[in-house]
Amino acid sequence: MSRERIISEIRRSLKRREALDENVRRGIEARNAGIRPHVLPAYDDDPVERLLRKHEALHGSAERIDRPSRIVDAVIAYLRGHGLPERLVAADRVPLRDLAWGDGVRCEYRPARGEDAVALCVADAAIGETGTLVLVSSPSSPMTHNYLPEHHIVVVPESVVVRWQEDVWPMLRRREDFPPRGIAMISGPSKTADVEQTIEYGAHGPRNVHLILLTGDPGRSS
Amino acid sequence: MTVAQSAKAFRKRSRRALLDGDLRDALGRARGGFVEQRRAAFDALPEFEALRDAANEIREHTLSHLDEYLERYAANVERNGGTVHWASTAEDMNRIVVDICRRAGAKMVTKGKSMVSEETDLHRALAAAGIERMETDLGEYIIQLADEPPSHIIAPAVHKTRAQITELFHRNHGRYGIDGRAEDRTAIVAEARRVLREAFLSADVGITGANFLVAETGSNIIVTNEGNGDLTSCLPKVHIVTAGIEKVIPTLEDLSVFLRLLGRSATGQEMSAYSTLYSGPARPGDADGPDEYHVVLLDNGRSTMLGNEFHEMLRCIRCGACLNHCPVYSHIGGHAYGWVYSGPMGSVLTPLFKGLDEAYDLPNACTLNGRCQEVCPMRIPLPSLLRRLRQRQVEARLTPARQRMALALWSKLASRPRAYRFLTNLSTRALGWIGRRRGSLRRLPGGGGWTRGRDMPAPEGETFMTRWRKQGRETS
Repeated sequence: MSRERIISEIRRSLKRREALDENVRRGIEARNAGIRPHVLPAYDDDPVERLLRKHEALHGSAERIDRPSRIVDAVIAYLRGHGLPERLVAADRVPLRDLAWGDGVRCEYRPARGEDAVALCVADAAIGETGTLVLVSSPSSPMTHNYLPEHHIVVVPESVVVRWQEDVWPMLRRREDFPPRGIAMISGPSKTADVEQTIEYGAHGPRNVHLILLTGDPGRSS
Repeated sequence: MTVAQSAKAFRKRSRRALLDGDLRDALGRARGGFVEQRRAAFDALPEFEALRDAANEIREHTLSHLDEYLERYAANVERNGGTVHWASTAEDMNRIVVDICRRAGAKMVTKGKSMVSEETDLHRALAAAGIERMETDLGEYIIQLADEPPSHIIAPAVHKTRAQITELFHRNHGRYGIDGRAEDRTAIVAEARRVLREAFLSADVGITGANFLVAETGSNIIVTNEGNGDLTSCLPKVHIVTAGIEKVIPTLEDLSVFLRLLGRSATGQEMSAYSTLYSGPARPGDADGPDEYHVVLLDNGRSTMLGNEFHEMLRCIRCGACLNHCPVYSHIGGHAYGWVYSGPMGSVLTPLFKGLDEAYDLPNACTLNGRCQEVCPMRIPLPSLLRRLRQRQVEARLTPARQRMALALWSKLASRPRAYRFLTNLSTRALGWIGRRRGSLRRLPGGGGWTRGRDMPAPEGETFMTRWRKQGRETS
């Protein structure tokens, strides 16, 4: 069996015949169970302000709203502003599932398909350090939303904004489904520099990522 | 011609590359960009050295317990509902991947960029099995159309000009009902998006590499800017991950250290657009995601490397910084190296994978200026590794007899200080006298190769040792 062959070759190279003895293994357990962030790049600004600034520097767009019901207006304004038909797919979760879309808009709560132009999601975390949005997959949050449509609109409740990437990991470890199937860390729209080393946006994924910061949000999305 | 080109014809290929004007333009543009962007990114990060220390410590810790961490990783993949396959050789890996594709009844597979699959020449194995493959990274797609190997590990089509890409698309996209020529960058990218979108949606299997594997969660991480790796991972009903055994790291906190170094070292980005962790197939209730999730762990000589004097090379995270900063690479490009890995890291890896004689010229085509080691986020002592390879070549008597004799003579001389000083004094004076008028020498006895393209500046005055001693007398 290849597995045995590879493992025993590794041990031979490490000058060891057997698996690690109990003591060493306990040491490894202790290292990993007690793991803390290694090196955190210092920064002074407020993580929420930095998130917006970094996100825009990465060629994304952003706005702020102060209550969930405003999501509808914000989305409609975005669609009109980009000359898009008023239809989209959305994650079937709070606060999106309770929105009153009105007559003109067709919002479907299902995974994205090739022809969908817009997806609306909720971030599970957002990282001030790098302007990164974290979207975790679950039955109500399909991964295809993040990559297929040309426009990705992400609602970020202020309460999920963290300073550093390392702040996300304990949040995820508290989840029942840990490790979740997919953890997407998204920093700006899709891009490529494969032609003449010059950046073009919208390579395969979204051409734009629109961040809607939901301030003063009391109810966490679950 | 494919990846399996022998590395023997290095000299011929580099000569051809040096005369290729298109290549010179493309490399010139890439060199400046990568170097400047990387420098700017690290200038803005005072914690760079601390991150390097941490990354090295993590890698060394993991490598020295690699058996344990691989077992842990594999157990967690299986707990997530995935399957782990172990491949000792390139052939093993290709057979495993082809078998999975066959069982899935796959006619067409999409592929994310993966150096491991280039290493095993998976393309050929898939083609031999009658399975169509679509590379989805734009650069990889371009070189797939051109039927060429990658010339850079992170920018595989760096050598292609825009006009060449326009022609390639025009010649190949007629079958998708596209007649016109995509001339500008935006049009080229849009046309690729249209063609590959179809492939993403209809592929039966998606094959990706992995930038890292996390033991704690049993996840593979894919870092891209295009999002092609994610569409390859999410859409088909079977996802296959191929990865070298050295890719495993212990925990998510460890991963953060590497992610901070990878993007900055590769392209000067704090974070690439997409860094995604995948842990197994779709869960009950999931509305999308693959039914099957497979990981193929490839050894292919890595476990042997772990125990020899080249083990530092296993720390490599494939960022490409050493290529971008290498004066040799930036003049001849990646194809001259003759195999999938190029530049300084390729000059170490190729002889180890392919044999010292197959890749004889690679460790020698190096000025030992040390820039690669300076910029390597993992502080791999590339110049020392290249010197070690040269040493092995001498020991294996692969080095030409004349050169070996010269080296033996020099080492005899260098270990006899008096004789050494006497002879260097003599030759310094002699050469200074010969070149006294022009200040330089057109020819050097025994150094014809060196002076063919340039003059040798004539020595002025005395040797270093003489001056050192004189100065010592003056100051004491």
